[in-house]
Amino acid sequence: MFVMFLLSFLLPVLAGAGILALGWLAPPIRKVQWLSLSTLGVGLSVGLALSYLSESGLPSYPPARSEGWIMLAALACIPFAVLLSFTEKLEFPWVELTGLATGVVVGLMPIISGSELLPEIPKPLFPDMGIMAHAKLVLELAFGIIITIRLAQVRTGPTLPTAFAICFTGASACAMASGWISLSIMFGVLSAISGAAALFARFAGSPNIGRGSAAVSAGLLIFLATACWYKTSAPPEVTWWVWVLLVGAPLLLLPLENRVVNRLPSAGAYWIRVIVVAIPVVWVLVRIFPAIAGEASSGSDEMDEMMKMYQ
Amino acid sequence: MPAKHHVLMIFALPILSLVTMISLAASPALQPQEADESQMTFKLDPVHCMANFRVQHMGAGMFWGRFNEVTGQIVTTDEGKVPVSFDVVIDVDSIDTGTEKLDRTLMGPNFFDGKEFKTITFVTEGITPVAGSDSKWTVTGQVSMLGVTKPVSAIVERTGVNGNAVMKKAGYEAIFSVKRSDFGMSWGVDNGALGDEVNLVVGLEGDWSV
Repeated sequence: MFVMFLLSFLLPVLAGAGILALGWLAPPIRKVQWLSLSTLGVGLSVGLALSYLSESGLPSYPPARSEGWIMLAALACIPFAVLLSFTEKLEFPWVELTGLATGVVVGLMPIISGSELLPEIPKPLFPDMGIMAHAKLVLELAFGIIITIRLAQVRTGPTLPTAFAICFTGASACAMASGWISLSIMFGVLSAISGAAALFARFAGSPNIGRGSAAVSAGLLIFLATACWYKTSAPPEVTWWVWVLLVGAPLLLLPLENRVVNRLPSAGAYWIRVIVVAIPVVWVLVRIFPAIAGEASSGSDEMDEMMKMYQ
Repeated sequence: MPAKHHVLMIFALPILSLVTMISLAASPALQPQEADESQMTFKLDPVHCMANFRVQHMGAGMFWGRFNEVTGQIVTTDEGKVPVSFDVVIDVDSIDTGTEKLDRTLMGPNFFDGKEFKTITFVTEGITPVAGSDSKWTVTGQVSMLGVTKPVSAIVERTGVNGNAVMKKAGYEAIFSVKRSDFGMSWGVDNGALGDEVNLVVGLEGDWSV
């Protein structure tokens, strides 16, 4: 079990945190603006890719099994984060177009990946996803990325990484409750790297995480949550609105960007923002705890009889 | 044409047709069709069929589970006593380990990935009798699981055939093992969390009626 913990969790976290330390703490690199702005996005993507590699191996293209999209998304996020860091000064409508284009590309991935010019009806991104579900994912990604980029523009320092660390932790618990162990570990990796980013941000002079990193954080949270919802048989505790609460929690930072909170001492404002994001996540954790602990189990009588026969 | 000839034709034509039909029926070309007619197809009864599996957990205990929804058919000869083929479809969603949490985990992408691959199928390729037994056969075929198709070989035993000329029940039991990693279900193999070799006992009961 230690080898599994080492390869699937510890090494990916160390790799992600190592990239963050280089990008935000190493003096020569932190001065290169595009490197500093894309560091968190690259760190999250590398951590996720390494964790996926350890858990499930390298997928084919297009993936034979739909969870392969996770690896491809992680790899695509690396150049995506770097490219967006060069657009930092571009304003309306670039942010909006970035969000919408990302959503459309992800939503159309099953069609784009078809090798034929006129492919047959492609498999959905994840099982049982219809056209409406794809459209919803496009809008969720667009909306999430636009809001998070806007937040990253006004809120530097550890606040956003902390918020995402909290949400990834909640998502990890939901994935575990839904029976997807690998995704739970991957969310855990993302949470730990975001937590490391929050810690490093304290010592790195409250850096701007950059729109690339903001887009990757929000995009991965939404994309992986969608994967978990469609790929697993969620217990009754993990409803669709539980996922909405988890994925939407960072957006609660938006109304807190007001004069009242901004006038508070920075530590006080930081903790208020963190607590507001944490409230729905903690509520979700309390709600789904029985499903994780297995307290909601109930076996069939026939099965019990059969088990007795072999005892 | 004289009336006598008309009468002859009226009698001769049906007689000729009858003779032709009898001779055609007896010709070698129609022998396989006769053999097909002697076959009986038993439709699997999901209530009395199940697929049980056993796998080692953490290098220690043997852990059991089963699939409750097993459908398909058994084609037999000799009044249901000799199998010709087994076509079996297992509904992954019917997994039952006695614990909902474990069912969800096994249904999930790390194991059977039931949302994406809803069934496990077996299609027979060949059947040979086991030497010295008139109720056991070695059945070879293709198992499709998680989008991967692999050949397997099972020992199948006839557990019983019962009924009358109008309706019958036939029971068979298959015992075999597979390596789950062959089908891409590798989670927990390397670290020993869950064994690679899975033993299966599949109980089948089929119904035939006129």
